[in-house]
Formats: sequence, C-alpha cells, structure tokens
Amino acid sequence: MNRTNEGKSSSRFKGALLQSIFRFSSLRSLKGGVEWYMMIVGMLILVFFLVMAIFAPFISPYDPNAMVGKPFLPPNSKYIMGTNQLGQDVFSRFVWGSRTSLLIAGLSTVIAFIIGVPLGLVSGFIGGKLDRVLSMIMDAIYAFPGLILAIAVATMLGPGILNVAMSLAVVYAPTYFRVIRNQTLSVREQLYVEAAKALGAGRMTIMSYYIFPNVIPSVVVISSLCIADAILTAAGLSFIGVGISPEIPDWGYDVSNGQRFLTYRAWWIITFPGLGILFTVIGFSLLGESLDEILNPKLRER
Amino acid sequence: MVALRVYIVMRVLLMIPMILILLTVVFFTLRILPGDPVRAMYGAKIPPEVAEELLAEWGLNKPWHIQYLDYLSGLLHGDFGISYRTKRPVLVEIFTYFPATLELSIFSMIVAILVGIPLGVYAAHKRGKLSDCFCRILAISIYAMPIFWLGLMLQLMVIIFNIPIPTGSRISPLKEPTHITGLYVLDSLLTGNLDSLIDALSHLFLPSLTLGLVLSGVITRMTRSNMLDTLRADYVTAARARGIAEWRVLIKYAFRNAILPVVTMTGLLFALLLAGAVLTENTFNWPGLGTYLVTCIANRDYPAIQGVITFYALIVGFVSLIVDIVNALLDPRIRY
Repeated sequence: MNRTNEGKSSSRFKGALLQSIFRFSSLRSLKGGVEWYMMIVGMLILVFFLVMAIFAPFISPYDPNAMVGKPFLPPNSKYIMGTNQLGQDVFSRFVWGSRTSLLIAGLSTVIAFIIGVPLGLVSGFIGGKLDRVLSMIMDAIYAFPGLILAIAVATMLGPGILNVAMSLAVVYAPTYFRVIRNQTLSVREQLYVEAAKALGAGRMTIMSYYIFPNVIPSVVVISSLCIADAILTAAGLSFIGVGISPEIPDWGYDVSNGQRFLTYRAWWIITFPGLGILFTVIGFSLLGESLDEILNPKLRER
Repeated sequence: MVALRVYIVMRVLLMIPMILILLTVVFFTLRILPGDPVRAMYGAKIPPEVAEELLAEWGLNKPWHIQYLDYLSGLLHGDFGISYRTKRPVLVEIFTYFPATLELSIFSMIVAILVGIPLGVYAAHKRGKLSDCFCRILAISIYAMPIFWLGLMLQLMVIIFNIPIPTGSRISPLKEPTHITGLYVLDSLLTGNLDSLIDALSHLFLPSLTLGLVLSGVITRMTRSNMLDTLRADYVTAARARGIAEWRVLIKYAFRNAILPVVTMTGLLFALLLAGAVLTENTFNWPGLGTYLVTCIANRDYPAIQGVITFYALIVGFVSLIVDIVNALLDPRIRY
C-alpha cells in the first residue's frame, strides 16, 4: 500500500518538474530565454569541477603535498600554475582542492537537510506552540551572520572536514526549515490532504506521502543557492584558520597561505585557488537562480 | 498612533526572547561542545592539578546551568568576562576595536549603494536585453567572489602597478587624530586635521571598495527585482502615457516606490555586512572587531571569543528591532 503511494507521488513530482521544464523551454527558447542559458552554463561549470574532483588522482600531475620543484616558480610548461613557497605544484593542489570543496559543500547540505527538513515539516504541519518555539529559534539563528556563527562552532569542534561541514550545517539548517515550514503551511490546506485525512490517514502518512513530495521541489532551488553560499563560508573559515587541517589541499587555505607572498608578486599562488572558489560558486548560483525562475511560476511572469 | 505604539512595545518585548535564544546558542556552542579551553590554551601536557585549578579559577568546573546563569547575570551587569590573554575586561577591548569596524561598514555601505542601485535600475530598465543579462551576471559573479580573495587581488594590483595607496592598517603612524569618537574620518573632520583626514581616507579606500563591491551585488539584485515590480504598476503606465520622459518615470515614479521594500532587506544586508567585515578586516589588517576575533581564536582566548560573539548577537538583535520599527513607521499595514 505504502510502496504504491510512494511511487505515485514521486512520479507525480517528476512529471511536474519535466512538464515545467518542457513548457519553459518550448515557450522561452523561442524568445531566447536567458534563464535557459544560465542553467546550461551553470551545469557545464559544475560538471567540469565534478569531473575534476572525481578524477583528481588521474588529472593532477604531482602529489599535492610533495615538494616537486623549486619554490616560487611562475607558471611554465612543467608546472602550468607554478609552484608555491614549499615547491608544491599549484595545479595539483587546485585539482585536489575541488574535491575538498565539493565534499564539504555536499556533506554540509546533507546534514542541514536532515536537520532542517523534518523539523520544518513537523513544525508546519502540527503548528501551535511547538511551531512558534521552533520558528523563533530558527529565525534567531537565521538572522545571525552565518560566517560568524560558523566560526564559533568550528572553533569549538576543531579542524576536520566533517567538523567544518557540521558548523556549516548549523548555519544553513534554518534556511531549509523556513522554506519547508512555509510550504507545508500552504500545502496542508490543499484538498488532497483533506481527502487523505478523511480516508483516515495518520499524521506520519500525510506528512511523508502527501506533503513531503509537494514541498521538496522548492528545496532543490534553495539547496543550490545554499551550497553556493556554503562554499564561500567554508573558504572563509579556511582563510581565517579554523577550517580543515593544512595537509588536505583546500582553496581557501591556499589563498590565505599565498597572502604572505603578495609582496614577492607571486600572483599565481592566490589567483588560481581563488578562481576555483569563484567559478564553483558561480556554477551553483547560476543553476539555483535559473531553477528558481523555471520552477517558480510567479517569477516566470517577470 | 495607539496601534503603532502597541506595535513598538510588542516588538521590544519580542526582542528579549530573540536575544535570549541567540545568547543561549552562543553559550552552548562555546561551552558545551567538546573542547577543553585549558588544554587548548596550554597544550595537552599540562599537569592535571594545574588544569583543575585553572578550571576552578575560570568557573568552568561548575555545573553548566550555574555557568549559564553566571554568564547571563554577568551580561546584565555589563560584564563580558576577562580576556585570558590580555587580562583586561572583554567589553573594554571590544569598544576599542568597534569604531574601526563601524567606520569600515559605513564607507562600504556608501560604496555598495553608489554601485548597486544605479546598476539595478539600469538592469530593470533594460530588462531581457543583453545589458540586463550582463548586469545580472556581474551581480552573480560579484556575489560569488570570496571577499578576501577580491581584497587580495586589489592589493596585488596595487603592488604590481605601484599605485600609492596603502594596503593595510587604518592610518599611518603618528597621524592619528585626537580621539573623540574613534572614527578617524569623523575625528579628523571635527578637529580640522586635514593631514590625517586624507591619510585615513586613503587607508579606507581599498577595504571599503572590497566590502562595498561584494555588498553591491545583493543591492543590484534587490533593486532590479523591486524596480521590475513597480515598473509594471498602473501609475507608471499612466506616467508614460502622459509623455513624461523615460528617465523621469524611472527615477521619480518607479524608483521611489521600489526603494521602500529595500528597508525590509536591510536586516539581511546587515548580517552580510558584519560577516564580510570580519574577512575584509583580516585581509587588510584592519584593527576592527573581526581582526580581534581572529586573534582571540588563534590564542584560544575563550572569554574574549564568547564576548565578541555575544556582542555581535546584541547588535543583530538591536538592528532587527530598529528595522522592524522603521518598517512599521513606513507601512501602516504592519501592526499587531
């Protein structure tokens, strides 16, 4: 019984998504819809970095932590992005850095999702005092500057990929909570929820099979924008020195490390890792913004 | 008028739980999470008796609920604790660093508004055209830029092209104006010290440009979407039908109404500003609260870290209160 329900709702969601994408592309591509191009460009950028992260051992020519040449070599044919003050290959560190960055972003999103979505569902569906208290806590955290909160948590947890991901999750869980709660509030008034109640469905069934599939599309957009922000915040943490330990190649750490050699005009040490952060974030932002305009019919009218 | 007064009183009362929640979150993150300040500060090899003694001295051996009450009652008395590192009251330290952060924030906001609003108006005006697309991509790229990296890139340019602009600190040695407010630009204006005014402004240039540019990305997007809303309004069509020049329609009719909702977003922008200031200050060696926070983290100075974060929480709570009240003043529909 449950399984068929699940199958139906997930296929309904897929259908709605495909339909809206199709409608969007067929209507807008004639007018040269900007959002469509934004999405493609965003996806291309992300695929590029994803491939780089997955195949890092094969792409990087050297060990990212080994001294492979003279220090401070500018970009040349042997070291295409030059070497840093320890004689490490900047390109190899760049390639491995994409892995760290995407891993942290993905992990933090999963944790934030696991915290924020169920709480938002329950809070929106049950309402009452529980909803008021939860909303107040989440709003207070949401209003606080994310980076500073992440600094506080990361300082206490200490360095490490999982710890950084956890401190980011604390910052972004309220965003998921708010979106899911607000969506739940409107979806729970729908006729089909009423019908399910009339048929005697329990709260858990209604929440997981009737409300959840209908509020989840908005999370797709939010998570894309949140990942973009999380990558920036994670880089900020590394820059300040509360991120992951230096043995792991990381863009934020490499930029903060290269900061000391600005006066040597060693531009290559900071430029390339910074570009890595910049383009990953642009990729996620483009994807998120275009999805937002595709999936949000109110915005589409603009 | 009565309804407005009721709203303001309610809002002030609601600020109390909000700030309490923030303080509780701060307290629990810093005290209850794993991590031992004594060992973090003096290394793991410290003899257990000494560690016990230090814990007792810092009041960390008490049960957590007593610590929590101590912390709250201390805050009520304006006691943010004593810094482990400098042995001075944390609140005094905070107030020596805060003016620098305030000055940087003010000038960054000026840059952000000067860049962001015209770009947003322009993009809305050219909606759907190539230049709109360009403005939006610019806004996304600016937002996507790690703020410290942008700062370093600007420094790099200054170094490579030998531009005579300072890339660090707040003012040249011996040029500090007489201390009145702690804001160097204001102080030197008040004392008529032209020399230090120019020096302070030249030091402000790169940091406020960095922070301002990043913030301008958000302002561009906000202005653009608000402008698009107002440009569809009937009064704009009516104004156009009367043959009023397009720039006049844009500025006098659409923009005036588009800028009001921006006040609502100020809270969000403010959080971004505070977080961005932490990174900008560290990039430019700016002696503000953010640099102080990072110094404290590097030295594991827990009372100071907690004090600074608490201070940020109080500012955020206070600003959201002000924003809500201004909103209520502007929009009569917001009432309890």
